[in-house]
Amino acid sequence: MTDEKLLRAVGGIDDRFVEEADTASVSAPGIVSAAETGKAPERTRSRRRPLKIAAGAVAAVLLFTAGFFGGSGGLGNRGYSGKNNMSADRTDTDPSVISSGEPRDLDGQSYSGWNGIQYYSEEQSRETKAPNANTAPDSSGGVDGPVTTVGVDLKNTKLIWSATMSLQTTEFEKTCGFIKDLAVRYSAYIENETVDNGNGSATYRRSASYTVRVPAENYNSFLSGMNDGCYVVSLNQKMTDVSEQYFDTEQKLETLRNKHDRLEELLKQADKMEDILRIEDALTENEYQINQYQSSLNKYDSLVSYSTVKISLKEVSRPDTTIGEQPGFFQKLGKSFAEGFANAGAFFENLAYWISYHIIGLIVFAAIVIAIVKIHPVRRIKAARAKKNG
Amino acid sequence: MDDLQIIEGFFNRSEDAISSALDKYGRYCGAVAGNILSDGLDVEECVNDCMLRAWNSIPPARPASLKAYLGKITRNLALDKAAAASAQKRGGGEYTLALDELSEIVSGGTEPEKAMENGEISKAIDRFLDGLDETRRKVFVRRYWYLDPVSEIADRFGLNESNVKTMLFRLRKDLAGHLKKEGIEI
Repeated sequence: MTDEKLLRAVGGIDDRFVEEADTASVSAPGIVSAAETGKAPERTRSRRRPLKIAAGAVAAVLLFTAGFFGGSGGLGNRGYSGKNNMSADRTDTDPSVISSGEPRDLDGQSYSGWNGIQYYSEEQSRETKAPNANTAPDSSGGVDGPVTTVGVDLKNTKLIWSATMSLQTTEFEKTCGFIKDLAVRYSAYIENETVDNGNGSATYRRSASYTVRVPAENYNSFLSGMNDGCYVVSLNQKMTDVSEQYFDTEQKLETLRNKHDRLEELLKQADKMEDILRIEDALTENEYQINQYQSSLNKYDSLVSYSTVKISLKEVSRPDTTIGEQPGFFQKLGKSFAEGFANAGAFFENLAYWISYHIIGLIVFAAIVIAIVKIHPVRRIKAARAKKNG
Repeated sequence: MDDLQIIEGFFNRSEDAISSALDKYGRYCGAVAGNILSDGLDVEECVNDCMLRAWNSIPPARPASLKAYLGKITRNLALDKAAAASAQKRGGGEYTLALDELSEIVSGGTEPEKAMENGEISKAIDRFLDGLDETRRKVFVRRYWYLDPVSEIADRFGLNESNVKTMLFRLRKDLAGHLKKEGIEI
């Protein structure tokens, strides 16, 4: 087929076009329509660029100032996030994120603040929220209820909720037990569990990771419950709207089932062997497609009814911060000193381990050095001269 | 691990290079194949086959862009699979739709096949793309290289679907004219 070969020829275009088209490029509608009408889109864009750069620079200065003097939030909190912090989570429309037939992220650009309330960018016109009881979270506000909802037709919405949590604990075994108890309490199940026992040193402590499937109606309660047993360092949440794909698949399935009924009726009426064979072929194909779509629907149902929470737990000697704390400059300074001392302690502890491990080698090495120094020719000559003069 | 290190890994026959490439570009390749194939298992198979092909072809090949290189391998593998599936009437998704659209440009004859064997059509399309503004170029590549659905392209570029369809229609018409002008018989 010639057109197929042309499609393959498009595959042979220069790499730069392929890479360029893959860069995130959600332009303002005005720019694109200018391109459509044949006007110069580049000029339009370049006129806006200085404004964007200036706005970005002002925003960066403000953020830096707030982070330095404000004592909470902003740049000053890098690696120092507290219990209620939720990390920024942005998913763009890169094909590495979205593939055909796969669900798309509704929260294309979502950011979270100190109080855990999720904010949406101005571009995002659709405000989203925790859906109703059969599809999602149940409370609101921060980790205790991260996403709020406005104006979504929940009856016709299929949302998949997922979260990634980073936790710290000073009592590792107790916290592992707590997570399992919490899963039981909220009718969740642990899909995957990995425990690393470390080596007992201060730098390589125990850690664990869990993948927990939580019934959607208990999702928020489960996340909130985590506060009671460990320190939540970060929480990233993602909501994916699969309504379009779901109802599309449902519609296709219905059409295929109707077709199946009609084919069966035709099969009953057919009297020629040739017709019977053709209808049976069509029925086989039809059943194959029905199974495919049904399998997709089952997968969606599973993902919608059970949210996925990925938990990463680390044992620490002391957590990064205390519950609800939003430290100021002096608090952070004090903490830095304390951490410095703690790290120095860890360093000397490790040094002691290292010396005890290499003690034989060190003794041998020291003996060799001493022997070399003692029998060094220069030293012997000097000693001989001293003897002669003296 | 950056691209150069991954490529060096392929040259040194280090299997870590495959896992690094898979970690870094597995989802991307999956997305490229996913636009062509509807079956998740086929997509996964394509991505794995892509890594095997990359392993067999690097060295001697030293791609300037690893991402585009892996993307092209995946795309070709997925097109092969889709063609086979289409022959079995299992449906080819966006592949079939894109074929239908492009059939407007080329209606038959043996000259295009010969030219394509020499990469002539690809080069002609490169020149055609060079003459387009950025947005139209990206829309064309997203539709006919990545085989993105029109609705997804519309979302990506902040357009409505009919705008994208109109733009694609004009692009196909322009491409047909360009190929004709370059002496490629259509």
